[in-house]
Amino acid sequence: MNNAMRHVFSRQAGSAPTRRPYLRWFVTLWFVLLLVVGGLASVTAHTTDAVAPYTVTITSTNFRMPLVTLATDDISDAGNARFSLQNGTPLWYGITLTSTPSGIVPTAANPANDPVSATFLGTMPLLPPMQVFPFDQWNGSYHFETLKLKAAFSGPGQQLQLELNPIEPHAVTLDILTLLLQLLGQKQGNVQIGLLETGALQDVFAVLNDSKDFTALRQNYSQALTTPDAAAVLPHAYACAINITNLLSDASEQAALADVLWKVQGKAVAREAILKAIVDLAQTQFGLAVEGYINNVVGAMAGMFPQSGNPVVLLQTVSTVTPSVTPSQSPTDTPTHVSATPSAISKGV
Amino acid sequence: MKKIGSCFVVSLLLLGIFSLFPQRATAIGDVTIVQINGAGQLPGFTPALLTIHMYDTVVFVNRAPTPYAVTAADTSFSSPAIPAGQQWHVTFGSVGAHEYHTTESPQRMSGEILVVANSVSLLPTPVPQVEATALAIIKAGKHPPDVIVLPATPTPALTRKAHTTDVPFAPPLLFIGGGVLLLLVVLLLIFGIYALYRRHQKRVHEEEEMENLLEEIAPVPTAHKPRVEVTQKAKRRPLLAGLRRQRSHHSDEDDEDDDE
Repeated sequence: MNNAMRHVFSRQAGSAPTRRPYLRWFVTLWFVLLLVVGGLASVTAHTTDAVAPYTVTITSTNFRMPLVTLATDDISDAGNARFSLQNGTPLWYGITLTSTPSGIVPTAANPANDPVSATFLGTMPLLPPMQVFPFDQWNGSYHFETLKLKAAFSGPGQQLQLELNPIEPHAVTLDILTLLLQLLGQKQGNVQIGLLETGALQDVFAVLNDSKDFTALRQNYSQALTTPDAAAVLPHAYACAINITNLLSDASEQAALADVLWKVQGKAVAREAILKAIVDLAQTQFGLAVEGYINNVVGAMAGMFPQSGNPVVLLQTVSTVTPSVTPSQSPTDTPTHVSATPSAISKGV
Repeated sequence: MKKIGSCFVVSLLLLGIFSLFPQRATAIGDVTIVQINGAGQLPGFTPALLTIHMYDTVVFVNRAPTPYAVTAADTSFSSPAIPAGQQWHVTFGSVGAHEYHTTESPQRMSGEILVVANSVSLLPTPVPQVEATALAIIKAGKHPPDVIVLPATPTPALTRKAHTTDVPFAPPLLFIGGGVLLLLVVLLLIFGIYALYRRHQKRVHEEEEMENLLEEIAPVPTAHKPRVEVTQKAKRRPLLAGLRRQRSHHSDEDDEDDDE
């Protein structure tokens, strides 16, 4: 029995040293895990604490016309601040973006279901006018085009500014395309669906930038829009009519223009029909109609142009923590440098 | 007889020509709607620039909550005050550029209509189904093909222009011309029918005269009259025919004498 007991004890004694390292490793690992989890939790808590102390504010200036509006959708989450821009005018607006720090850009809030916002917040942000695309978001009561946007901020003191400019060159280019479509006899709105095609905007701008008559037309059209005196519009309008006559009459530019208008309409109208219309209209007297139209647009849109300031949207993050001076718990008795400059006090007095 | 025949031929010819007029009137021009912008929109017209063909009709639809009258700067047309929700139309019979405005707000609410000759091609309106197909392709992130082919069985409604309807009214001159022509045709038809009626009456009268003459020459016994009438009439037929021939010969001679 003693032998047996000894054997057992010897086995137990022999096995003890082999079990202890496992236990030690297990305990060590447990503490490491606790440390890691605790560390992560503290970091997360720190991050959460960092988000909480600032909010997004949104302000708008120079939105004088009720037809160009800003709507705040949801800015409670600074990392996903949502807002909308609406345009009920017949003019395109270029959007100039500036941000602090740089790199904060608005994107489409819902790109999968909103091709307009997804397209026009790309490389050249633009706010489309009413009745260019067949997406009536107001059930026919009102005609607006809407960009639904979101912006992400990561800290306090950041800001994003959007300036809407109706005479931005890209915007004016697209205004002129609308004018040309109407002049060539397109009676239906909502036909410029081709602009939503991937890469179409870049192609259109590239082709039109190469056209000398179109470039001159764009310059004169911009000047007509920005002329402060309504009586001074007519010379620019006349120049535009001359530019359009040259553009439609130039055999080398006719084909390029037909191609652009074909793409703008999503290839839903035959290119040959467009070219025929261009060639035919070049033979007619349309100058007075163009002059009258430009004059009318300027008259109707008076007050929207830069002399009265472009509409600006400003989003910024503001810290919600009020700075407070917390006195240290143990004031030191160590004298400061006051004693070193006793004369200063007397001089000051 | 010859006069009556020629009268009918002319009537039918004119009727045939006139029957073409309604089709011509409905196909003569398109109708385009210009909207007077309503509340929540920029005051003015949509579209503010419109190019149309001669004899096209522009319908001004007032979407604004207040009445507006539309007047051309060159006084080529002028509407009465168009109440809210109502419309007024004008058809253009000559080429030219027409600037127009509302009498209530001429500075801010104006538009332009360019009328070109029918020989000038204008941009066609996209076929709705083609446009919808192109849009679906674009929304899917793809590039539409150069030519969008529709299924082989398009319904007539799909091939119609979305913005236009057949013109239910022709220009005034066509109206007047058509009216005169219709009146002429109706008069000719009435004259023809009347002439036929007169001729028929004359023949009946002549036959009655002949009957009476024969009665006097060869009276039929009253007692046997019902039974032998058919036989008597059959006997008289060659006699009547001979008399008629004689009469027509005389009347032709009279006509010739008249002509001379």
